[in-house]
Amino acid sequence: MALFPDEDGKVNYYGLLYLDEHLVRNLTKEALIVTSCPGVVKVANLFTPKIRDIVLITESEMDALIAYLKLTENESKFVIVSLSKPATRNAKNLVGVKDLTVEQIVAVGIYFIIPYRQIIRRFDYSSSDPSAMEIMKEAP
Amino acid sequence: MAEKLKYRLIRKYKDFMLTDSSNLLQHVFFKYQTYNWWKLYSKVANKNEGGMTYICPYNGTGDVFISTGLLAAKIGPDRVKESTVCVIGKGAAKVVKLFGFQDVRSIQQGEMNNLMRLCDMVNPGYLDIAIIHQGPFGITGRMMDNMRNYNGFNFMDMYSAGVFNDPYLRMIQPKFNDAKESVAKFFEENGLQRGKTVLLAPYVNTLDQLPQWFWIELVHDLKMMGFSVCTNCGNEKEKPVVGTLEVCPFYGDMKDFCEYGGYFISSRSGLCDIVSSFNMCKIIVYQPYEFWGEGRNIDYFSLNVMGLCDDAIEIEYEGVEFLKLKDIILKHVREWENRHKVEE
Repeated sequence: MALFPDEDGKVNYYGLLYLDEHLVRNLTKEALIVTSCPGVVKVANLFTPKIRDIVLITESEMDALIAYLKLTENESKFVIVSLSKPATRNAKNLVGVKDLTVEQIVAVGIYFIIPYRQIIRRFDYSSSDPSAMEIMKEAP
Repeated sequence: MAEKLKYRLIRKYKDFMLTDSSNLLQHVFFKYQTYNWWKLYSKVANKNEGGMTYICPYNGTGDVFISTGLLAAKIGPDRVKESTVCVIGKGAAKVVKLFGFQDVRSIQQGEMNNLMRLCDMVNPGYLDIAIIHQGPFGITGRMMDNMRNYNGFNFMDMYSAGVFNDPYLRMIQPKFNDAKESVAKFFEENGLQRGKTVLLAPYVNTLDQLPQWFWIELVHDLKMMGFSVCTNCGNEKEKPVVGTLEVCPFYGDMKDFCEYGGYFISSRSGLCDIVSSFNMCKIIVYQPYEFWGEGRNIDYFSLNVMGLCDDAIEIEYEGVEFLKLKDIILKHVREWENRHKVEE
């Protein structure tokens, strides 16, 4: 299960871009995406075919879900693609320190893709939905 | 066998809790869990008005030393006196007190894990809690550790930039006791020589240990060179290297003890962070084959690179060339001794 609780387009773009690599390295066939960002629902299928389902929930439901997973101590079953959630994570502080980028922090920090190799993919996508374009504007 | 069975039962129980969201057992479990966590929070909470509790959820001497040193620099001496610091174990509590913190509480590892889960559930800011560690083990929120060594990101950067959000923050110097007289007396009573005693610290918590025979060989050669040798043994499990005196100086007396002896040889451990500012021969051995992100652990933990000092002699061995390592250490000891004599 991959949770996308952030509204930040950059984090969501790199979260989706490196998701496939994360699944391959963890021998996982498919992922369930749970997000509170409507843009993720629209564009996730462009990045990987290995998505079982995408569930859109509200921000407060997302907080409750994270709390629930913590309470039941089932932490190893999900990955949270965010620099500031859960509340004890403060990876935003690292951006820019010694030239660390959001891309590196998502790929290496969140997905543990070591050794890290940058993925560059071009997308031919256009939409009138601003939340989807917020994510896709990061594409080269 | 019993442990395995217990583990399986717990896993089954947890799976059941996840799949069925409306059973009575689950409600009882949640109530029990949250009640326990709240009781735990009451144990560590700072009761003063506007007071904060700072939590270091990892039981590593170096982590506790650097995080509380930076914390003391960040919040200033007045707030140091009012703040509560919560750590795992009594050894870590002694380290925290070096920086002037008076209200230090130590809890068990299991309690700390639950406290961290509570902080993840309820924003720690609401609880007047601040976490002064980049990512405790066993918690999914942990991710900053994975960034080790990327773009030269070292142990100090992890705390100064990652935890305290200020890459230029530098830790304050700890306050050590004036223990010259008691140290001199201890040296005299135990036949240790002033300026010619080596303190060995072979025991480590996070990284791997060097083989015991290596230390025995090293002690033999040091004694041939006329040195007295003692081993720092922090607890009952840590036995002195054969042929050495067992010592366990308090952290507060460590400065006078080490400087009186003059030499310190150690595997890289948290103790090296504490002795980094001492004026003596510091030889630190780094293990090269442990996974430490993109670089090696010498890149990440080097005292000189972290800015804790600039005179540590830091060595990394190759393969199983421990005899070669021993010769390199002895060469540095000789060089230090000669230089010291000339300066005198």
